[in-house]
Amino acid sequence: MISVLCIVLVALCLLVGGDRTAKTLMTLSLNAIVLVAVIWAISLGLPPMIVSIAAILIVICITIFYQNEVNDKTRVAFIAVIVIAAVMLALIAVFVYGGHLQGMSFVGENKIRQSNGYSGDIGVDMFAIAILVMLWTLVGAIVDTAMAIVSGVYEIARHNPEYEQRELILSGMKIGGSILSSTVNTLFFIFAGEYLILFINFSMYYSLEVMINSREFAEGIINIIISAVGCIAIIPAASCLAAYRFSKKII
Amino acid sequence: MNKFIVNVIIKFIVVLICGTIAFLCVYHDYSLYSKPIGKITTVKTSGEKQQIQAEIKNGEEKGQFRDIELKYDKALVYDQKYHKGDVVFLDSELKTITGVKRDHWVAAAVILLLGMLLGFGGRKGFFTTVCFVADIVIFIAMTLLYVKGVDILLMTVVSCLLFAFILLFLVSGASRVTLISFFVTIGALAVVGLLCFALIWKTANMGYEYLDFLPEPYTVKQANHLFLSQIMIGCLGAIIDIAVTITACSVELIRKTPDISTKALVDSAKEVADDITGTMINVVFFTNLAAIIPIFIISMRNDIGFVTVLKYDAFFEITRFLAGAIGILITIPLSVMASSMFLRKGEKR
Repeated sequence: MISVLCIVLVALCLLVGGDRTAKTLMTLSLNAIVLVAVIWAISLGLPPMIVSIAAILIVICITIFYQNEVNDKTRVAFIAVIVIAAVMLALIAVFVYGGHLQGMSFVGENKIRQSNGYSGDIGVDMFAIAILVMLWTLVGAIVDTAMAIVSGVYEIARHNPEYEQRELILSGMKIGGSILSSTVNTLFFIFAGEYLILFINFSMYYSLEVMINSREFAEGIINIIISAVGCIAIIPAASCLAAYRFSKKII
Repeated sequence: MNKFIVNVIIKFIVVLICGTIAFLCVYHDYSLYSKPIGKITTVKTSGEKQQIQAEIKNGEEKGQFRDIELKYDKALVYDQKYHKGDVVFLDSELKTITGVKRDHWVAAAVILLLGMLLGFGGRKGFFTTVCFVADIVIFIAMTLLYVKGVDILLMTVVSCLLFAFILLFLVSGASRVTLISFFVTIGALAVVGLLCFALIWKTANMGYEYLDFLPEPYTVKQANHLFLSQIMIGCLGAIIDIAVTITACSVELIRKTPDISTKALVDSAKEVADDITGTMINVVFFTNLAAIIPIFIISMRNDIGFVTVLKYDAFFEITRFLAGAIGILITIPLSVMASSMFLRKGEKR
């Protein structure tokens, strides 16, 4: 099934879009390789936190620079993404630490559990892994928004060289506002699909009280909200950085 | 400039105060629970053992202190390591911890998002919030009806139409572009749905024992329907997004140059598609696949091969990602086709 879908995807990529859509295939494969490398590295026992941060930097570089080539715009977007990712990393850490969001599930007939012979003594810090998962989701989402805003502000600055920084920031915020709801909705539906079965399971066998305090539910909700908050936070960040960078140059 | 900054600061303070009040309400909702709740006041950790003192927060023993002793695994796969200030559920004898109280963390996240959307998103933020609430209501209704025995696939098709309708007409308002986008969304969703439908029914053994959280007992048909519903809902957001963008662009092109050739139209659509599909597919990639990292790591540390995990546990996530990406791509030609069909037909009349 996966192979058929892969073939359909490749065929569509080549037929539907132009050169850069075809390039997406390369970006995707590179990102998949990084993902596999991260899993290998962590399961070999390398420190998960360091591996994750290095991998996420590589992924940001691939998605921004390889997909869109290196220029002023992508450099600004890169900085904006790094700044927001760093801020959100702290927020994620607070939520995962305080809400005890790490570890495996207990809901349903899950295959991975101690009684099935999956030892818990794996010597890898699941706290770091939980942070990695959320950070990874977040980065995918904010790169999209950052690129859209930076290229928008760049075009406006190019056509209106007399615009001051403040005007550029405001137009960046405006662009951000117009794409915000679609990004947030895209995220929402992906999560809704992913957690549909979980919700059904909870409503069949557990009470509401168990659900809102469960790790799975809290992790799902907090993961989507962190991504959405990151998407909102990157709007002013990318607007300000882009305005700062492009307003001084008369192009 | 000054007025602008003052405005932002006032908004910030208002949002902060409202948010804090709401958070504190949830934090102190102990009396709503029938299970005993304790707040951890002191923790002594030695090796992999913890000695905990907890203050009981509800019920008849409210205000008393209890000592609890527990063990944890360093990796924290199945266990928890508690900190001072954690709020936990206790068993009825108040001797062991049965779970962590997480509702105030969920509430904090929700309040944070609402604050940012309503406080700084302006009108758009308000509409996004309204859509969110509507989506969640439909979603809850779906799960409740499922428990009553309604077929999930049928409900998914109906609610996908509802979701698309709400998102498109509420946010963008009723217009020709919205109407065309609506049909494109349905078309793209149907293509992805039918493709996956055919593939799922052709696959003899889907290995549903590896699909997380699947409620047991299940029949193969139920599981198939659930999985297909997951795929369709997961695609929906991205498809709507692309449909609106490409349709708006092609409608604009046809309106400005009514005699535009089909080839030129397709080329322009390709140009626009180039700008958005790449990052969009990456969003779908990361959002779907990040969640399987922990399963890979815990399995591989237990000497289960990478390929085995990929084949069984990761199968569902990978399928959802591929379906989402295909949905994004198929939407592009459909949008171009639909807009040229609708508009040119209108002009001939």
